[in-house]
Amino acid sequence: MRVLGIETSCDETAVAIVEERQGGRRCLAHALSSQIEEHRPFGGVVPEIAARTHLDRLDQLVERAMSDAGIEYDSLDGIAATAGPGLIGGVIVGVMTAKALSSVHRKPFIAVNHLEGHALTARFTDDVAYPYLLLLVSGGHCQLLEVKGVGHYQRLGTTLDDAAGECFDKAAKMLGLGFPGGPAVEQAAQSGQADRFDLPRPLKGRDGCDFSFSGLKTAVRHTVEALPAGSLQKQDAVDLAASLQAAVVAHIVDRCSNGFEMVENTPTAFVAAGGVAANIALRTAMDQVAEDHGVPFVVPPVELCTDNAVMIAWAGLERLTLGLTDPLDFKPKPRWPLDAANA
Amino acid sequence: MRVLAFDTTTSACSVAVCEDGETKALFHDLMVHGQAEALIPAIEKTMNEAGVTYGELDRIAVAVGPGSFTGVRVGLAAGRGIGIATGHPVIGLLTTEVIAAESQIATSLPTAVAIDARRAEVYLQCFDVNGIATAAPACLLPEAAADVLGNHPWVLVGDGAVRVQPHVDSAVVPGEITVANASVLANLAATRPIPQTPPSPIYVRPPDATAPKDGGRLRP
Repeated sequence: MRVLGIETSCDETAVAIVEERQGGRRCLAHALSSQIEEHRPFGGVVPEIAARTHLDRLDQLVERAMSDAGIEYDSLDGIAATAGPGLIGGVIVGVMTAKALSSVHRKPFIAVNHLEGHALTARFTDDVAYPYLLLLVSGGHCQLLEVKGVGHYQRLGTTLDDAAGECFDKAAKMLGLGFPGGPAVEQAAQSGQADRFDLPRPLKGRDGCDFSFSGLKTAVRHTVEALPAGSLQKQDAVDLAASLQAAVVAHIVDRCSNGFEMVENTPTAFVAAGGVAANIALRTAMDQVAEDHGVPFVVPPVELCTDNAVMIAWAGLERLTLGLTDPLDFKPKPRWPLDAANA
Repeated sequence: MRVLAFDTTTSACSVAVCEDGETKALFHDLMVHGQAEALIPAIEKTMNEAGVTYGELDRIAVAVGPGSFTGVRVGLAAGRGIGIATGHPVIGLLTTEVIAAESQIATSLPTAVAIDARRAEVYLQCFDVNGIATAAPACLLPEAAADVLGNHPWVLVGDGAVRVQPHVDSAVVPGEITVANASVLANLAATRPIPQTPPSPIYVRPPDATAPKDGGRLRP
């Protein structure tokens, strides 16, 4: 089974080809083009710029991936694309390109939920068995899910306001640390003193495993405003970055610990996915949470945590294996919860 | 020459398969939204009706705007996708040019095309009696578009014409064509040289984006 996958839901344009043969699985090609430079002047992703850039680049990336894999379209078994949730202008570019390839070469089209791509990556990398507990933490999402099978998700908690990565982006902008905010905060935090500023621990002591990050963002703002007048000093900025990172990690640890009490079935593993799962401090803390609950901690390599097309091709392959394909009039979805109960 | 042509840039989804100037099959539905869902099934239906497979085509033609940003991308992503999947050349034409060409089949008069640009504006482009554009398309308020037209005897067409018509001189007369027809697009594209690069979108209006003051820093 061999599937081409397309990812265009945010600011990475990517195409990958994955295959599974007799239990072995591999990525034949992954062509990715980041739009960081296009969005940097704005300190965040601008949807219309993202959509235009995806259109400019996607067809060349498809050709590059096919060439790198050294295969012909005829040898593909399906064409998958992120069909939501995400910035809809970009999603449409990916879906239309996939539908065109699918129509010309008469291959099944698979509309992949971007979140399912993140959720199933650990099966591609580590062959994790169901059910497992998944922390999905990125610039657009922060959720804790029980993954029971392809298409079977129980959402245990989600953010009540901002996503974790969004909090890092906004704080980094206020502190002048650069874009994207996650890596910028992480780098600054390395030379900062995490206990200098006493930032709040949102929802501490509350039941459930919902998340909240907007209070932290506001606390950063208030802390900066309370500093002595004048330009923000570098040491203040890095100390605040370290304090923020510590607060975010402590909040996520607290919520995930609650999540372990809420699962229906004993999980085989604790899995982290999404761009913020690239954060080393968070990985270390999650590893400890998993150990405390007696399960292995699985986190894909950084390049498969951030948005990529390997996860879309893989999710497409998993769906195709189960006969789950979609018609060519499939409507791209800007919002698309993973769990049916919230659909 | 066999051409598959389609347009989703304005308030329609239009698909045609033409061969040597003759329309073998045409799908033409007015729709404000839903082109991302409708287009590929419409292409397959039209190709079936024409009895043509992708491999038997000689070229693909697609309207590149101006029009709805989403509509422009729906058509171009599909067109460029079909291009890489088939290896056929993809020819891009301005939506305004296609609308003007259809209008001029009947009138042979100088033609002004106004396409609804939303936000109370229109994309305006004028064509002389030979169908040659007098300038690049521009994004204008209806009053400004009327100023451009002046008291010249243009035939005013396009789905934005109704916005401009109340402001124009009596010399400007309303035409009948509102959206692009893929048959016209196909026949125009059949005469064009094959480009070295895939067609690019024509948005006219820049993206809505303002860089924050001091990069958003609280204490610059």
